[in-house]
Amino acid sequence: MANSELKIEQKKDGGKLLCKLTGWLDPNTSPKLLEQVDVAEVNMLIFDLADVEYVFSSGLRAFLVFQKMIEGKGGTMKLVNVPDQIRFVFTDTGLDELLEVKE
Amino acid sequence: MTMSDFDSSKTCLTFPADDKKLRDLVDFLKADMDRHNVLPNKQFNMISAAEEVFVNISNYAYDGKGQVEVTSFVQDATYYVRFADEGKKYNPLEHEDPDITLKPKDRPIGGLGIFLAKKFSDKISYTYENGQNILTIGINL
Repeated sequence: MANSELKIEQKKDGGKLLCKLTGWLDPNTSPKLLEQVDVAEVNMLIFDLADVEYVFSSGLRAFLVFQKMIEGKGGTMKLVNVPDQIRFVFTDTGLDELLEVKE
Repeated sequence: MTMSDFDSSKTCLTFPADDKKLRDLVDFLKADMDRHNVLPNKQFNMISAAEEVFVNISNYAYDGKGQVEVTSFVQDATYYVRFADEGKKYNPLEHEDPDITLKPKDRPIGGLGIFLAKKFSDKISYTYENGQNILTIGINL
């Protein structure tokens, strides 16, 4: 069985929120990400994707929603430890120009 | 016997057109691609493309419940997955690609999934036959 659930570990330090994600970002799990990550008092949002197996288009949309929320209040968001294959998903859609995507 | 005859080994499974069944589809494709010795990076590409096609059918093909028949086969050094549904006639390949030169916030919603399916597959085709939408995606082996 594939590791298809999404695990979200959050660590908050002042206005900085680090979310370590494990699993898949698909149409079933991406809404959970949007529900569970509260950015109300956050001005730096970091997603660690080291243990993410797949990011499908529904996951890309979720990141764009977070980006808009954070950007709207002058904060920053970045994606770190992005596996090579998943980085390709961002570069191929041009989303790497809007989102900060790092190895 | 030709080479393509020799390579052909079809596997077929029917799924409810429901994105909650995505994991079942991926499990099926992974096991099948392992059987065909498809390399991991190619498996990633096929699964990424197949997910978008399957979710598209799940969301838009039927007003109520429906099914998707998924058939895999190898032909001419390409691994193919064929999706057949009996939902509304629709060719997603006619959908205009999103303009990725636009900032994502300025882009129209929609079309991103099928755009990714095109990007991740080496071959993609659509036909409408006997009341079925048939979308076939292939990756070079």
